[in-house]
Parts: sequence; C-alpha cells; structure tokens
Amino acid sequence: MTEIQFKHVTKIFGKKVEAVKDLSFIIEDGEYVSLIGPSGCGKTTTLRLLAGTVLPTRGKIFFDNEEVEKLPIQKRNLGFVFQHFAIFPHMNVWENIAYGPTVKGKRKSEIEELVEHSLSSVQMKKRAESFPSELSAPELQKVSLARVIAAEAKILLLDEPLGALDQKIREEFQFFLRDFVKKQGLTAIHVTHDQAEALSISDKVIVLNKGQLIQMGTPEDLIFSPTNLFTSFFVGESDFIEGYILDDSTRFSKVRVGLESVYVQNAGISKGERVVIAIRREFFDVKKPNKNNENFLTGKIISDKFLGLFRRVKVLLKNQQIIEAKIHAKSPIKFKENETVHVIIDPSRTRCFEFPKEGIQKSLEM
Amino acid sequence: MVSVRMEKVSKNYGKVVGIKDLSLSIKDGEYVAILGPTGAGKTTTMYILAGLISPSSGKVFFDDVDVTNIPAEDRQIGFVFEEYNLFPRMSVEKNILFGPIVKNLDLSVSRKVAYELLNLLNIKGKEKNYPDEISGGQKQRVALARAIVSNAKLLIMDDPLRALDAKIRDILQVELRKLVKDLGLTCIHATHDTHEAMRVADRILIFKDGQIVQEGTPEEIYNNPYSIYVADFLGENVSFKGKIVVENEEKYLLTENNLKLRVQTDFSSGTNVVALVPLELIDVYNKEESSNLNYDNIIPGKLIQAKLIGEFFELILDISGMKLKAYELIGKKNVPTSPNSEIVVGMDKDDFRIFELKNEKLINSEKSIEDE
Amino acid sequence: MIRTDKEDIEIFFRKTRLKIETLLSRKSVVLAGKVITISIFILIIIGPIFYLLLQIFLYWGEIYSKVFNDPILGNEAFLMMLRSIGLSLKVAGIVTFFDLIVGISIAWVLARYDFKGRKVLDTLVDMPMAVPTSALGFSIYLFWGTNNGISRLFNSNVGLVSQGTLLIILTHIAFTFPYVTRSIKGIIADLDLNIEKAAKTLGAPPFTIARMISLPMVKESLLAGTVLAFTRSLGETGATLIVSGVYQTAPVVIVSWMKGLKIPTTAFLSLILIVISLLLLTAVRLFARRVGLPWNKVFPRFERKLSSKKVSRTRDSLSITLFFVFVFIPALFVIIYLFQWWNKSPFSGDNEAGMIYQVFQAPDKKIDSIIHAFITSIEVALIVTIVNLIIATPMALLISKTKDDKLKGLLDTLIDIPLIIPSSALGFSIFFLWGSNGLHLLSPGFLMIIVSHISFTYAYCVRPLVGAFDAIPTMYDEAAFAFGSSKLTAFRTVTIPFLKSGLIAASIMTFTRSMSETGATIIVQGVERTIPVLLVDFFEASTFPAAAFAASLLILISFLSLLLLRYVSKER
Repeated sequence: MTEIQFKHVTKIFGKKVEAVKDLSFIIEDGEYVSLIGPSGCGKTTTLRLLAGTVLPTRGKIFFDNEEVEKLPIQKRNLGFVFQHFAIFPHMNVWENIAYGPTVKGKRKSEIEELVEHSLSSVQMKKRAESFPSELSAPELQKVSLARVIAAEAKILLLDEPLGALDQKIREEFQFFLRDFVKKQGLTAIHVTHDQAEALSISDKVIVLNKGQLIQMGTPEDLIFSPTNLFTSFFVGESDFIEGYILDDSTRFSKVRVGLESVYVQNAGISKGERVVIAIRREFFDVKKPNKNNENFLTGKIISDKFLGLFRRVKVLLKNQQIIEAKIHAKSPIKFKENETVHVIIDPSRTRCFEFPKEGIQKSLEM
Repeated sequence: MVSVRMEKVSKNYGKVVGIKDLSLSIKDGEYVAILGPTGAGKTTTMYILAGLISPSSGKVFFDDVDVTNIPAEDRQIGFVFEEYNLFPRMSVEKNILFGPIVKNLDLSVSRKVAYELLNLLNIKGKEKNYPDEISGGQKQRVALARAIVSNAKLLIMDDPLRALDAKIRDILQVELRKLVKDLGLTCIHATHDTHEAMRVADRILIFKDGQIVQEGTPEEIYNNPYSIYVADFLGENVSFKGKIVVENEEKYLLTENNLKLRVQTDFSSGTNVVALVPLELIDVYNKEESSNLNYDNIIPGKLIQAKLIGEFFELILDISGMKLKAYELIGKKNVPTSPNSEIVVGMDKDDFRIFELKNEKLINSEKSIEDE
Repeated sequence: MIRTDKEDIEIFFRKTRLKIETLLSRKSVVLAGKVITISIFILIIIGPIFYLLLQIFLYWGEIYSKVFNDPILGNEAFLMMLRSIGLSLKVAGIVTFFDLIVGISIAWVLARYDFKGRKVLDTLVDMPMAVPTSALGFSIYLFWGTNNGISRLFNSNVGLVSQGTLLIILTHIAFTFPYVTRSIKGIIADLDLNIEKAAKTLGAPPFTIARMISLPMVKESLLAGTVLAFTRSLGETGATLIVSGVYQTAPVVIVSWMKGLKIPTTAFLSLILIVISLLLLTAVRLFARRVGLPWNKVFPRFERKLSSKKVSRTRDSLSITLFFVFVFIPALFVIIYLFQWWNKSPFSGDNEAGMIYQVFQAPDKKIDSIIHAFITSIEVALIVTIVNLIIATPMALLISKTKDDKLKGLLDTLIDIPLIIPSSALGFSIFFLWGSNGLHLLSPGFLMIIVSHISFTYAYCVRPLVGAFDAIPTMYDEAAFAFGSSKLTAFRTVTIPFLKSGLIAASIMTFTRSMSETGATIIVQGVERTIPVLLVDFFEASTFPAAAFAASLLILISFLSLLLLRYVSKER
C-alpha cells in the first residue's frame, strides 16, 4: 500500500500546451480512485505523471512521503493495466506473469511461488500454458492483473481497463476488479471515460477539466454535493436557474428567480449577490398547481416524454428558463402541452453557487 | 420531406442473411429509430436505403418513386456514420462543402447554409480546423452538417452516437432531434441503445435477425412488448416463473417460490408463464411506510445491498428467498439504503409483462439475477 | 542440493546480465550509442558526398580547366556533360510520366479488386525491382533490339527497336514503375472504404471520389514513389550500359570517364547528379504537404462518364495488358533466349555459338569466371547485409523512438540520400574519399566494393526496420519498464521478438540490392568482378548466350529472394 500525493504539479507539452495545471491531491493507502473528465482534460497525462513516463514541468509527486517525480518508471514499483492488455504475445501466460520477478533478479523458486500465487488470485491456474492469442479479452485482463501481483507492485495504474470488454461483461468485471484490488491491498488509479463505471467502482473520483482538478470526492459527494458548476454539469444531468439572494439569514437562503422566489441550500453567499442554483434533474418534482405546494416555481409544460427508465418533463419557467425533470416512469399524472404546473424544489437537494463572472456557458466549456 | 417505403427487401451475403423480407414505411417528416443489437440488420437496412448496397430482392421507394436501382450519389440523401468518416485532408469547411461542390450547387448559397448549420450546432469558429484537431462530438456535428447541407431530404444515421462519451451523447441526442424537427427532415436513426431510441424518435422499429419484430411509439413498445426478446432488449427485468391461478375472479401468478402476485393477463388459469417486471417499476420502501402504500401487490422483504450508480440506486433485495434487483431514481425520497433493513416492494398488476412459457428462451433476465 | 547449485548459477548469470543491461541503459551510455550510430552514418553515407563537394571546392581551378578549358578539347567535356544530363533528365521525365499512369492503375487494381491470380500479379509487379538491372536490360534488349525477340512475330531480320533513347525508356519503365505501384498499393488497400462511402452519399461518382478523396490521401507516398522512380531512372547504370548504344546517359558517362581515369571531370559530373537528386529530395520533403493539386473543380458529366463501368473496366484491363507486353515478357525473355541458344545457334545451327560451348567448353572457360563472380557477389552481399543490420538497427531505433521531431525529420531525410543519388556517382565519391585521392585507406577491389555497397543499401536496411519499430505499440515497453526492466532488458525481452520479420525483410532487401548493383561496383571494383558486372562484360564482348546464362541465373536468384520476402512479410 502506498499513499500518493501530488503537490502543485504542472505539465506543459512543447511550449504552450498545458496538459495539467497546478494539480494537488492526496490518494490514501489502499484507496481506489478514478479520474474522469471530458476528452483532453488531462486524465491520461496525470496517469503518465504517476507512472513516470511523463515528468512534471513543475511541482512534486510523493509516494509515501518519498519524492518520486524524478524517479524513472522502473523504480516506482507500480503495475500498469492497459485497455489493450499489453500481454507480451511471444510469451505464454506463465512467462508473462513471471516477467516482473525475472527481470528483478529473483530466484527461480521464488518466481515459481509468486506466479502460482498470482495465477490463483485471478483463478487462471488452468491457463498457465496458454498463449495470449488463445485467451478472451477478460482473461487477458486477468493475466495483466496477475502480472502486477507477481511483480509485487503496490500501485496499480489502470488506463481504460474495461474499454476493450463487451458491455455485458464489463459490469461483472467491474465487480471483480474492485474486489481484487481490495483483497490485494493495492492503491489503484483508474482512468475512464465512462462516468457510471467510475461512480460504481471507486472510493473516490477526481473530476478534471482543462487540466485542472475540479472536484475530488466520493461518488455520493459528486452526485449529492457537487462543489461547483462544472461537476454539477458533468456528473449526471442538472439544470441551472439564475437568481439573486433575497435573504441569507436562515438555514436555507431565499433566492429571487424572475418574479418568484424559492428557498435553496444556504451556501454562505450574501444578500443581493447574483447566484446560480444547480439542481439535478432527478430532484425536481412537477405537480399540478395546488395550494398545498411549497417552494416551487411556476411554469408551463413543453413536453412530457416517456423514456422507459423514467419520464422527462420539460417545463418553461416564468423567467423563460427551461428545466427538465426526470420522474418515475409510472408517475400517475400525465401532463399536457402548455399546462401550467408547479416545479417543486427540495431546498436540501439544491446547490447554490455564485454566478460565474465569465458566464455559465463559458464556465461549463469542456 | 420525403416518405420512404421498403417492400419485401432481402439481402444475403453469401449464405448469411442480412435482412429478410423486410417491409417498412416512414412518413414525411417522421423521426424513426431502428433499434436492435449488432447483427440485427440495422446497417444493412441503412445501406440499402442509402443505395450503398443493392438488395438481393425487393424494392425501395422514395415518395412512391422506385429508387432501387439508383446509385447512392443520385439519391439526395444525407448519411451520418458511426465513425464520422470526415475527409481527413479537408478542413471542416471543405468537408461540409464537398456535397455542394460535387453536385455543382451554387456555392454562395451553400456556404450560407453551412454557416447557419455550424451556428445551430455550436461549432462556429472551427471552419478552418482539420478533423484531427477537433473532438469526437464536434466531428459528429460536422458530419451532420455535411450530410444535410446539400438539400438532403432524407437523413440516415447509422448509430451516430456510439463512439462518443456518455455526456456528449446525451447532449447530442437533444440537438439531433431538435435539428431534424426544425428542418422538417425525414429521419431514420439506427441505434443499439434503447434510451437513445426512445429519446430521439417518434416511432421505434425493433429489429431481430434481419426482421422487424415490433414497432410503435416508445410508450406503446415499453408497455406492451410482444416478446421476451423485446422486453429484454428494452431494459433489465426481474422474471417470475409460475402458473396463472384465478381466485374471486382475479388473476394471480403463483410463482415457483410461492409468491402470489396479482396480475393482469388474458392467459387462463393453469397456464405456465414467465412474468417480467422492469427493474425501474419495482418500487421499494422502508417497512414503516407500508401502511400508506397503494399497490396491487405489496410484498415484504429484506434489503441486501444498495449501491449508487449515477441517477439510480441499485438495490439488491431478498423477497421470500428470491434475490432480485430494483432501480430507484435518486430523486425519490427515503430510498432504503442500509443493508439488512426490512423493506416492502410495491408492484402494480400492469407492471407485469406476461408470456406463456413454451419454448421461447429467456435471454438475460434470469442470468443477470443469478450472477449477482 | 544439486538443484540449488543449478539455481545459484542461473541466478548469478541472470543477475549479472541484468546488471550489465542496466549499466548499458544509463543515459550516458545510450547517448554514446546515439553518437556512434550517427557518426557511422555520417562516415559511410554522408562523408563521401561531403568530401566530394569539398574537393571540388578546393581544387576548383584544376577542375575548371579540365571541364571548361581543356587545352585540346576546350569545353567539350562540359558540353558532353550537358548532353548526357539533358538526355538523362528527358528519359527520366518521360519514364516517370508513364510510370505514373501504369503504376497508379496497377496499384488500384491490386489494392481494390479481388480476382484469381491477384497474388501472382502482385509478386510479378515487384519483380523488376528485385531483378538486377543489367540482367533486365539485357533481356529487354534481346526482346526489342535483336532478331530473336519481338521481330520474329513480324518475320523481320533486325530488331524492332534499336539501341538508343526509345529502348532506354522502355527499359527504365520496366524497373521504375514498381516504385510507384509499391509506394501507394498498400496505402490504397488500407484506406478506409467508409470515407469513400461517405463521399458517395454526398453525391460524388467513383472517379470523382478517387480524384478528390482517395488519391490526395496517398499524395505523400505517391510523391515519394515518383521521386524514387525518377531518380532511379536518372541514376541507373547497368541496364543503360546495355541498351543505350551511342546515346550516353550521365551515369554511363561517369562509368566510361572513370574507365579512362578522367578523375576531375568525373567528379564534377557526379556532383551535378548528386545535387540534382538532393534538390529533388529536399523539394519533395518540404513541399509534399503543401502541394494542393488544383483539384477542387468538378466536371460532373465528364467524370460520370469516366466512372462508368465500361470505361473503368477497359482502363483496368489495358493497364494489365501493358504490364505484360512492355514489362513482364521483355523482362523474362532472356530465359526463352537461353533455351533458343542452349547448345547451338537457332539460325545457323552452329554449336560454337550455343550457350553450352561458350560457357563450358570454350578455351576461356567462362564458367570459371562466372563461378568466381558469383562467389564474390554472394560474399559481398552477405558481409554487407550483416554489417548493415548491425549499424542500421540502432539508427532505425533512433529514428523511430526519438522525441525530437527535428532530428527525426532530418535523419529521415538523410537516410534517403543513398536511395536517390545515382549509384555510379555514389560509388565514385566513395572511391574518391577512401581511395588514393582521399584517405588512401582502400584501393579499388573487394573491400571498396563492400564499403560502397554498405553505403547504398543502408537505407534499404533502415527503412523496413523503422517500420517494424513503429509498428510495436509503446504499451509493451511501458509494461516492461513498469516491472523494473532497464531499457536494454526490455529491448532484448520484448522488442526483439516483435522485430523478427522486420529484420528478415531488411536482410533480404539488402542482400538482393547488393547482389544486383552495377553502377557503383564498376567504379570501385578494381580487378574483382561481381556477376552483374560480368554480365555487362559478356555483353560488351558480344557473347550473348553466356550473358543470357548469367542473366537467367541472376533472375532466378532474385525471384527466389522475392518469394522468400513475400513469405516472411506475410507471417506478420
């Protein structure tokens, strides 16, 4: 197990391309962390910085308090798992797994032990003599995991490890992978473009955009408490309602939206400030107008579309903004076009952010 | 702005059947999705409509004109491929204007249209870039603009969003439908993704082994799948095997593990059936709430495990010894999440899609539960 | 106990090897390796050319007087240079024009259609490249230029085409068009057909698609192939010696001047040829990407007609027919000739004019010199191949792996120099540097042949290896490094196994090219003879049946190596 720390790491390619900007984070011993973000956000560069195939322009990287940013990849004691496996095609499974200890100069008997142990850790004992060309994609990925164990690596770097697997097998393998990492006590860093995969496999997720760390947190954090507009936008689907603070003295702040007002989570933004309320689309409720409704915005139905897993109800609010609610597939009420409705907002499930100076659109640019 | 008809079209590749006796018709300005797994004949159908391959037999009509023997270059269509297929040696602008150039259209007009399209698709300012300098989402937007700039009447898209990340896919689904509807195009969109088909299309055709097995609006298909194949393709289901029994003129399903579930069905008493319930229709509550619930079936059970998977909680339940999975939108209040807590499951009688158990094989519903 | 001993020995050796490899992987050692690699390259390839330039600069006075101001001949030497260069350029231009027409259409046919015999045709098309040009030239001369070949069809007593410009052109087309075909065939086959489908749905007929979409994608390679074809025609010696007659091209002039030991004029002419080739290479490297052919205009009706099935079928079958009539049959005619003249003249029935007598029975015992030349050729080719593998592998690795784009581009261009400059000029500059006029380390003969062959086959060895290195995904190295492999250990355990077929391909290319070379060999051979040169000697002595014997032998060898090459590259 190894603790990993990035301190103000910047990587500039060529003269101008800032792939990673002032990146700082700590990954604890034995944690499973995923990196997500739009393509070109710097997640692959971050992985390469960890591996040592790319050296930082500025900043420091620590493994267990030891500075490693200048160490070559050979001395970092890590295992690499690639999307396309990188199992040496001219060696059989046994030789592939023995590769690490062999080039580290271990004794034959010790190598044998390590390989046997690694093979059984991925339930591949029967395939020891097989060549890579005879193995299926999940089997190949298991061999590459076993190879990491045999090399006694403490850090596991996973570059889209499930990318080459069929959709159906992928979920099963997610489970296997997480279980394996935990049992072996590895610290794992997993790069993926599939946020559902990241959310379901990791202890923590790092969201990157344009080379910068946007948010690092547990899957629950990212879904229920995004700390900024970009996370709200990128993880799942949210709508953004503009307004300004009328009252910030209570647990929930009162926000003016058009001619109406609603209560939202108090984010410590003071009275009179312009704000953006971010609400996940699952957290809206849409109801027919009723005296008993509380904390709502009025609007007109644009569409009510059935999508199997849920329904999408699109509403034009009075302030001309459009929001979309995801509601239960069998929700009893069906809405007609142009029908007036109340969009109910649960203040505890809102997030409130200062209105970005550069505008909402710009701050969400990927 | 064109209606499309295929009449008994077949296509064989050697001995392999691509599509078999396929007939379909698409109205003017309709947005139709073709939904099916790989190998169901989607691409073959798209290619035949486009004229990129010719059918072994059968006829294709555009606006009641037989176009079966007209080559692709003369069909006035726009085609969007899964892999974008932008011309790598041409700038974005040249890519988009390729159609107008080879068709000898008035370039000043086409250029205007092109810029409007780029505007609509939020890719203004990339005109001089080359395809390898823009992202996947932008590439597909360019491909889309290229396909419709030279007055295409029919837009054919072959799994256009497959290669894109989830977030971009999400955004483009909305943009696609909006653009098609704004321009009044007739559109055929093949996809393997049920959610995508339901989101973009007016009507869905479900393909299996080169034939249409069901067609209808998303809601019609979802509520009334004709076969287990369709039900399974639409989403994950829990399956109950059992026998129909009648008590007090009400029909019940008596399952193998002795659950008695009130169901709605035309099958008569004694029929062996399998009943599928989509995971998102299985509503789970804390036991304390059971008195306020109004369901045809309320069954007590235990929560084994809850996991956050994005917009849903995935709940693994145990009801009278049967392990099953349920999805709850995270927006729902008080979703039970602590393991081993006592819960109740609510299911209405019309949540069950019931099929007579004869020879039709269950595709996934059984397996996915056992795997857990 | 015994087992432990064994284990101890094993672990000792393995650890020692790993340690050595780690030591050798250190940055300083790797840097030293790079410096040595580049130094060897400069010494063997660039050095002679540079030295020639320097000498001409230093001794300009002497050269000026010989070339422009000879007391007896005046500027006759210069005029002759101009004439010969003019002829060479004219021939190369015309040849390249036909190469493009035939080369592109054959490449298209080979890449796009699946028909019976495609593989055979594919091999046959490559053959003229592998067959020694002197054998090829001789065969073509026999076919067109003597009463044994095509003229028999017309019952004529003389050849249809006499030695001279036309025959040079016919000969050059035969061995240069494969450069065009080969440069684009693979790429056309690998082009994404879906992109063409996209163009089709946008309203473009097939010919327009080929012109606007597909060909521009092979532009660079096509240009590279064209340059190669052009420079190959410009610099060819062996075949041209046979078919040119009194019309001397520049490389032939170099050879004849060299025989007369007119060093200053030879040096000057060599330099001009080298400069022309280098200019071409540079121009292509610099402008390849920028050449936007004026291809945006569209002629819908005309192109639609060209796209019709009738037209395209006619075009395809015509190009294949042309290949057989103008390349294949003439190139192999020497074998038929050999059988015609096996043991007697087919015309007079004279036994002493037959091959058997000339080669085996005549008092000069040609068979001895054939065997001797054959052995020399094989020895040279083997040594050259081994040496080149040793010095080319690090260079290929350097080019493939360097992250410095400028260095990569520079080396990539420099590598091609020996490919494109006329081998006689290259041979001369080697003679100049290493021989009595320069370092005085070697005199014409066996060693100098080897040095010159290493020089012009270097690129043939580096190219396939660069390709082989490039084809290895970096993830394998990274995986190996992550487990603690030093660079050299990873190279030995992971990279080399991927390289096998690339190494074999490089060896065969180098071997074949060395076996078949004439121009440079004539300059540096001294009293040694390789078999292609011997063939020219036989030709000049008018002992055609003996020449035919040597030619057939050469064709057989090159055909076998070609088959071997195919077999190896298929294994990949």
